[in-house]
Amino acid sequence: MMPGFVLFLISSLTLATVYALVALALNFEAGVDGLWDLGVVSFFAAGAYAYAILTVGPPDQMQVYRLGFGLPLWIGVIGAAGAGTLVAYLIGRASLHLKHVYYLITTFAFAEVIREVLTNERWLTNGTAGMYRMAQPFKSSFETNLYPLVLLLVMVAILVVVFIALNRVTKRPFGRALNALRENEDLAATAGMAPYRYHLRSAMIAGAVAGIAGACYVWFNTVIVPQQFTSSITFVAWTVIVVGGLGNNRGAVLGAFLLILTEDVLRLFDLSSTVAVRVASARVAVIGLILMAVLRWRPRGVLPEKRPRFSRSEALVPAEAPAQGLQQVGSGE
Amino acid sequence: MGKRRLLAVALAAFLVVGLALAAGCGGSETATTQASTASTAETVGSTDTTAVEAASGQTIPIGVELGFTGDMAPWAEPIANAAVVAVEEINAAGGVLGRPLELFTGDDESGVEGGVRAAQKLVNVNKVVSIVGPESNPIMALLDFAKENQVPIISTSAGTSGLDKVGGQGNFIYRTNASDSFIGVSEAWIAKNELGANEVIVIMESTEGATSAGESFMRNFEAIGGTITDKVTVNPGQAKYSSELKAVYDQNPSFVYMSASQPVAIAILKERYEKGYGGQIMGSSEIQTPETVEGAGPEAAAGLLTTRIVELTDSQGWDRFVKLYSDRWGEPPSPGYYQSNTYDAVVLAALAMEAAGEASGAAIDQYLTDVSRGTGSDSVKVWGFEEGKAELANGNSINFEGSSGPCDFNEYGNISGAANAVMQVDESGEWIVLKTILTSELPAG
Amino acid sequence: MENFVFGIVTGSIILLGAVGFSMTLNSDHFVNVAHGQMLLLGAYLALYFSKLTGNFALGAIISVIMTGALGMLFYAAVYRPIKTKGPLILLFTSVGLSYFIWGIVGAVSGSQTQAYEIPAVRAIRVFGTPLITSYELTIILVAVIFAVSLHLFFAKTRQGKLIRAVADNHDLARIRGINPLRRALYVWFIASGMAAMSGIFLGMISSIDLELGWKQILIILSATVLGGLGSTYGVMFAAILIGLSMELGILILPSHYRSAIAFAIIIIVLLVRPEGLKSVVPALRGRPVESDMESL
Repeated sequence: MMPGFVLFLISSLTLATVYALVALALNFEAGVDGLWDLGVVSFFAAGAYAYAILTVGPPDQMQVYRLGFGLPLWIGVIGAAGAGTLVAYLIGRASLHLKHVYYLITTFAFAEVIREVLTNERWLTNGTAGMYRMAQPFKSSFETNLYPLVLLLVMVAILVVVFIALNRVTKRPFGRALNALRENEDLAATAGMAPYRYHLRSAMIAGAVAGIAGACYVWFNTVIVPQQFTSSITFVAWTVIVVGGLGNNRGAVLGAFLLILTEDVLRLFDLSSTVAVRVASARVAVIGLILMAVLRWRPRGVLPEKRPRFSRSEALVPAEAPAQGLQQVGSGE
Repeated sequence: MGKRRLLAVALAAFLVVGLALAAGCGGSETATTQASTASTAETVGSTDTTAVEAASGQTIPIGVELGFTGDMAPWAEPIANAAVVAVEEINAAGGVLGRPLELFTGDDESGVEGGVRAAQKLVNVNKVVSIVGPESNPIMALLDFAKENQVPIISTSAGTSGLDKVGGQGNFIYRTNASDSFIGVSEAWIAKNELGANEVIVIMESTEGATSAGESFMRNFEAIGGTITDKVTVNPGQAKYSSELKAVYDQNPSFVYMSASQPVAIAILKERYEKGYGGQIMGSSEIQTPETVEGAGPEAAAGLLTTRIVELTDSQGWDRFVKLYSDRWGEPPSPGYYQSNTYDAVVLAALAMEAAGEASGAAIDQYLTDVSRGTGSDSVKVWGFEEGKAELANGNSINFEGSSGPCDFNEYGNISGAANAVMQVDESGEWIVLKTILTSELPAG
Repeated sequence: MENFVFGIVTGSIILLGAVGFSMTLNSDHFVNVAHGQMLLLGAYLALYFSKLTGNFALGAIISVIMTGALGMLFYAAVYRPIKTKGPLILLFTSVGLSYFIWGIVGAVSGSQTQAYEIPAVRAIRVFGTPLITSYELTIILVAVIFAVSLHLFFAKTRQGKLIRAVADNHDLARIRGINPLRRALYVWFIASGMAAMSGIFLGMISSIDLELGWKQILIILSATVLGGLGSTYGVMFAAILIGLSMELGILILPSHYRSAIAFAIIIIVLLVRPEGLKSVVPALRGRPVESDMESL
């Protein structure tokens, strides 16, 4: 039997792994490439629901969803990645020609529309009541009190595989091309790159990773309801990569673990149940303060992106600049 | 570079300190660390009579998990206050098995993820013997968790019909509020036979709780021969529902059933008053609060109907709770906030431990159903913890009659009311009882 | 017809929130998510001061001024020191500030739904049809007054022109001896004060709870982008358009897709017209600036 605090920590780390995956996905399209995606939750939700629909059994008497294939979990995970990719492709096809803030708001609007569909199309999702008692991987093969650790290890294994894969892609010509597009799209286009095709591919890769994260999220919660897929997931993911260091995969993972652990450590200070509501609100205020402090004194994140050293461009980039291109021109004091 | 290292060190230090503190909380069963941590010194359990603590230093931790932030936050504060009332009453009566209860809180952020995280903290760090309070979405995520950890989870506000058949002894899942399936039966019956509605338009907010209640009403209303002429779904979070209400009232309904949370209900009532729409309007039970009336204004809320579950003959339990709660918090409780359900849940858990002679989750699960409904015809009815404890000490079997109703758990850990009161807001903005209907008069659900 | 009036009301509320948001976006070139929480702050301060003074109008005015002052304070203490770090850093600092404001308001006021102590009103009937309440009429009037006076302020007054000059070209303005800080503080005062007003109006026509700011910022953000960045008139137009599309769309589609309708319209407009509404209606172009916005 593991001590209680260790179990609590394991649970925190498991959730942090999910957010690390979402952050990696977002970091790939927003940090490596320069897409300002405010709808990463769309891919996440698509993955989670695809996984749920593929793996869940037939409905009970209280439920109204029609599908429910009861397939093995690994097929569900592949389906989740596929669904994430597909949604990324569709949204990308429609909106990738938009720039920055316009892309930001379009992806955000898509996320809202998708959530409304998940809420209202009850034949597909069982609506707001959602699906519950979702199966977790390898659950029956291990003892109950050992299982939380097993689940954590499974998720960490997925995280490691995704991390290595994304790192390799980032360092390859494809990743370099994305960097180049982020830095100066016009110049890159002049050099013979087709920005749209690169962007679409990076969004689809992000979609696949976020889709897998969606499946992991179902494992953590064992319940899936549309209420889970609000834009706060997107905001958390953005916060994580900005705090961790935009463009740096290690920073994205570290940011996710820092954020979730900080939140859960703050959970432990329950002063008194008579003022629990007030304390819960104050805890959010503390998170806000920490976020502001990190950005003020560590604006490039805890682990800033390591920029490849091209001798000449190095001199052109100011030392404290965040990613070039995100730097505001002409607002210096 | 030095600055960077400094920050890394600071962050690491922050985490380490946090973890150390956490470990301190985790080990708080030992009497020595307990006094030193802020969390225990401040809690209600230890503010009470020193005699109890002298008897036995170890407290029994119990958890209350609620949406202290998020959509459920309006309910969380009154519910937590009710749990405090119960714990203080129990401790004043000498505690459970001579040990005071200690209340820990967990914020489920009104959602599933927060529900899991809060439960992990309560069970693993605070070592609670039972969790009281989680709403529909959070508790559905904890069905297996409760059983695996042998910690009974007692919801006091979850209406979801998903809980109808999954709980009960051995499954560690209970709820002291009535299921939407049950409420739907009585609401539909009351609407049709007491209030004379044959054709009803339903307004339903697209949230889990409201949908569940609304669907149940529609199903049951049609089952007893009524007609649902239209169903209008509204989204939460809007300031106005002008077009939605126009779509409803263009059809001139004589009766509207509204399944919506407090802010939405307020907006709908205001709109209805402003536009002078007529006909009767009935709401789901959780809007039965003074805040609904205050929010909409007494003029706009006047005439609003709801139902609530009450005791069969008198309201001894409710009156008793009103006094306890008012004495502690300076304002009366209201049925819509599930405060009485929460009070009952805590007292039931305490009585179950008393009956078992053991302070553990397994013991609560084993005895909870028994103390809630008695084990035979010779069971003694009790309304409070002290009474129940005394009867148990005398070797009697007890049947706890709650402040929210009889609180008799069935084999699935659900309760059903003995009687329903039809409530209405009068001209001055007060909730009054129009009529009380026995559940036995209702058709089987 | 009624739905059209409802749409104007909804649009006017969005407008008051969105114009202030758009002003800070123009002057400091970042998405200030905390603007939504200024609505919340304004609504709760009005609640507090109207209880304290026993007069709702007085409480509301105190709240508008105080929220405006707090807006200046937040700008000077939080945003200005990191102005050089780029819009993303500023954006997420504003997310942090949102959490901070929200948490403090929640910790001080508790989480229960609250309401102002103002009498309930009946809608004014036009040809026998209940159409609009006096509160809603006030909101529309205030929205119109602000739209017109902001136009006059930016177009005619010296201060307005100076603000535009700073937004246009910060460095050049400074060289010409304009104090950018002072102009920025004016902007933040007006923007935050308008946010407070918007929050108070929302509280007047419905009720006040802690989620008010989060609910509004999303729609404000959408209206601003839909209008076309940098165009105050575009934003005003977009706010009304979103309000109308929400109320009229429900006539065609089921009501549970109401907010989806608004977002679908945003998607369609942006896909067809990537620059937002200002590229559809040339008159919306122009003021104050937009060249800088392209880099956002």
